[in-house]
Amino acid sequence: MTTVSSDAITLTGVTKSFRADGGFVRRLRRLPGTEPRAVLDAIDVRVRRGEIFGLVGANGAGKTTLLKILSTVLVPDAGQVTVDGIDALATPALVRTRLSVVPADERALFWRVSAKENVRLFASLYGLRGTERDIAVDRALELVGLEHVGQQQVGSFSSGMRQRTLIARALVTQPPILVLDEPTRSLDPVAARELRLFIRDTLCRALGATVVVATHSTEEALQICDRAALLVRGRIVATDTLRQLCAAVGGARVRVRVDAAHEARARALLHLPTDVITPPVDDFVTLSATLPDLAQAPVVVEALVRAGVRVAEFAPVALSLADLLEAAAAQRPRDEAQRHA
Amino acid sequence: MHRLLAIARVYSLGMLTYRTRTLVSLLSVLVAVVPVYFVAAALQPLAAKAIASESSEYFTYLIVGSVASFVIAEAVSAIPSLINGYITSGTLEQLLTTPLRWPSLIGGLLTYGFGWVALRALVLLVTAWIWATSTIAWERILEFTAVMALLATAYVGVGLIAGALVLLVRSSMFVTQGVLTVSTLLGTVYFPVAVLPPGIAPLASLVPMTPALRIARHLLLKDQSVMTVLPDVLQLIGWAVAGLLIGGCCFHLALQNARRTGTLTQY
Repeated sequence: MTTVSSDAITLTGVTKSFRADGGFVRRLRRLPGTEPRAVLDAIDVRVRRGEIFGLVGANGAGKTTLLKILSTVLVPDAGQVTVDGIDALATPALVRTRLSVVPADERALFWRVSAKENVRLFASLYGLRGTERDIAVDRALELVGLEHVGQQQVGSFSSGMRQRTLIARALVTQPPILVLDEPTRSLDPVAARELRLFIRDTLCRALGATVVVATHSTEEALQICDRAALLVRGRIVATDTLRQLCAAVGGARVRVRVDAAHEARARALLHLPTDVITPPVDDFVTLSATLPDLAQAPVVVEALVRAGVRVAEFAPVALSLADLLEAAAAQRPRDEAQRHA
Repeated sequence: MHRLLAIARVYSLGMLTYRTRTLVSLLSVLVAVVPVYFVAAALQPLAAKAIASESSEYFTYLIVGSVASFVIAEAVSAIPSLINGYITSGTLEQLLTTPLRWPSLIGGLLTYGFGWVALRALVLLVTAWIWATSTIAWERILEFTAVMALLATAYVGVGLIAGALVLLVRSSMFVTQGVLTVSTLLGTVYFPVAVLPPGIAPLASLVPMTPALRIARHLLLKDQSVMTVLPDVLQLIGWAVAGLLIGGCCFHLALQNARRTGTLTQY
């Protein structure tokens, strides 16, 4: 069924569990540890047309599972999935014509044949024929900068070149939606930066594709994503721009430099452990604190000054993914406790 | 069909890059004929009477049996083996994110394998023709090919069932080895049904290989028309249709299950 929608992708209440390992007999006897394991729990996501949407989360958070559901190779236990206005559960074959997937694993390529043959295969699978196909293949290879090595075997390529071949393969039919699973996983920092720029400037801005990127790198998400969903143990804990997401989940992290003589007082006001002494540098110590909201900064500074603490620096600090996930993981049990209460 | 050919093309191009392996494999077929020739010559006096209805020479009797063995080995083993490899590499999942349907995928992957079987079979038959004292009816080679195609279709059904098991539990559960062993023992590859113990001889009629080889030998070694073995032809067609239907259903259901359980990719 096709419906008109401003969203490229909508996921509503998507839930998925996997049976645990442990053998057929163990599962049959329902021994402990063989219960199904929830991987996605009531996922709601809306991806707007033409945006780059990030799925940010640690390993095992459920990012790849979510991408597999989007690309119709996995069926959810419950929920609804719509891709480009098409019900992905009712007509998965139609969805496959609108969406291309760039997998995380380069082994999905045919290594014994050339990059051109790999891309040609996908062009044929998507129904392109003859000259039209040849033009599309050349254009896709040119887009990813592999036109000069297109005749070489993929097995002789570097990881970065293979990654580009995977992208060329997905781009060959210019699909309206592209799904990329950890696209820079095996790339060096320079190649990773180039690829991110390519995704942002060429795929999304120039070609107008909607791009969904799964990543565990906040740097990557910050660089290319218009919006992102933070996935923690199968649940989306927040969806927003990444900067707002950091603030929403992790609060506002600040760096405060105060005089060493009043460190204990400053710690108490900043709700930090008071039994710790930081080695001073030039009679000042640097503390890291988290405020519920950055808007409270003036109030906190005023309180410090009133308490006689000399403040040399008070600056916001960007959260790393580890900080973000830690904060989110800590927040989730609190939310659950509140819900149960 | 275009998608099937696209898969066949890329898979064949990949396989053809193994030049040395291809050459060695072809040479090994030639070398393997030598002991078969001498063993067959030694056993000819003993076997002559038992095989008389299908061949006058035990060597050519074995060669035709070997060709059929090549065919069923490819039909039964290729699918589970390729599916297993493609699950591990993520290729299967990647291909299934495209508009490609599984019959085209399987057909494309099998095209190279059966082409290779045809080449090896041809080498075997030509060698036999050169060495054998009896003749081979080359004018019936197209009918023979059609019979081998029916035999392959019947056993592709088993291959699909084994592939379905790989999708479900990552193992073909000895279906491949079991079917190949039973078919080789009961299917008259090395000896006719007449020499089987009376207790198990009736089981030979339950193996698609038996009618297929009877037709093949009547065509190539006796130069008789298919009409002389029409019941066997009908039986083989039945096996082919049943194999494809049952195997196809099993594979389709297993694929649906794999989409639910997430076993299309497992590293």
